[in-house]
Amino acid sequence: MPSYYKLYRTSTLGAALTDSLDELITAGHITPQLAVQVLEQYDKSISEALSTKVKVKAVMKGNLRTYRFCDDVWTFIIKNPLLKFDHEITTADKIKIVACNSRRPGE
Amino acid sequence: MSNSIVAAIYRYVIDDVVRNVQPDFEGHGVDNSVLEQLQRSWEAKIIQSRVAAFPGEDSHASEYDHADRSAAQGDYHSPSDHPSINSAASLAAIMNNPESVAPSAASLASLAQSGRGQLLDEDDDDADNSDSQLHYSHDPYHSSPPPPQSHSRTNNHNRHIPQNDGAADSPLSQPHAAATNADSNAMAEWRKLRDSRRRAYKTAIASIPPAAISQLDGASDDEDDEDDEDDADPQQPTASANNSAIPDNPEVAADDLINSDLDDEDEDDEENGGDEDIEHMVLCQYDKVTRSKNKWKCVLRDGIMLVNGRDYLFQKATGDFEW
Repeated sequence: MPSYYKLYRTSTLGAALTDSLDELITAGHITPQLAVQVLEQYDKSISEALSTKVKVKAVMKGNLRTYRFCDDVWTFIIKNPLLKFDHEITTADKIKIVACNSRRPGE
Repeated sequence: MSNSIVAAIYRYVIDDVVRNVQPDFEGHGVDNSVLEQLQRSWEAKIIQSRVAAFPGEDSHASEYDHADRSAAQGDYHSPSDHPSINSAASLAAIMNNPESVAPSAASLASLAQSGRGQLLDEDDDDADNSDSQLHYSHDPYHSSPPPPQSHSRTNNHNRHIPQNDGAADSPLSQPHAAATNADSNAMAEWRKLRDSRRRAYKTAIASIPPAAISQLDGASDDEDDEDDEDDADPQQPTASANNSAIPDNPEVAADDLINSDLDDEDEDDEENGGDEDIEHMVLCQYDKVTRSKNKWKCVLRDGIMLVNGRDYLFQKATGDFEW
């Protein structure tokens, strides 16, 4: 069985799921073990959805302020990034990119 | 705009997760209503986060707008007056059906009904609203009583919920029950996991505009009472206090207010990249990262981006950066 990154748990969707699970655990409705199983399913579902359902291409430009490569994970901090999507452009003062290797260990 | 696909993808992921964990819930002997509760709560949080334009968010007549969504809408529009109504209605439902085997079904029905009431008439006054909840909360129970044996496990927990809701009378007893029920190691691990995720996410949302902050803050408050889910959670008040405190001083707030001893891992620096305290974030995978002198090229894929309070998704992205 392929493994999936836990990376996306930090997103809005993952954080909301984590909070909802936490509410159920605290109320005694589910066990932490079951919650972990749900999160693992989330890892799989979001990973598959991103790779198969999303068609958007994006371009990022900006000043690389910090870069780091540790445990096969790249982290970039970009100052004044310009973020271009198919039909939209947005900017921010600073953005952090966390990127795991698309080729997973063992593949 | 690429933001518009976000809602569809999130909807797909939520449905996919819920569908696939159903056997796990059954395997743990957890009733299906808890899974429904999870889905409702999850959806409501996403809608309230306002990271994407969801169908039905602006038009209340949308057929997509089932009870879950409208409950969230109700939350959003009238944050303060519903908890007491809900708890009163649910409590009354239980008192009127002392032999009731399914208070969970009743309270869920009243919850759904409260959402529907919101959908039909946003500004319905309190008395009308609670009347209709009271009325409807009986019907689903009488017309379709759920199988008693499958409910017996969750009933014990659900039975407490409407009574505790709104009143802070026994918030301390519930966590103990949960802790003893569950393996305490697993609980500790869960807390650690949860708090590290939360912290990372809150660091990110600390940088989004104040309007969005206050919505998130209000959302978690309302959510608690409205959905009868975690009324006994002693962390919720501190968690929401934490949210509101974040604009002032995110690090101190997070450390002080997330309450458990288990929370004190020194993860902040790792999560933040040391000195980086406010940021928008991209979570993705890389195909290739190359550098030529000070020019960096990144080929990225499968990304989620949270920028300016909106979520964006991409399949492929290229990054051209100068160091």
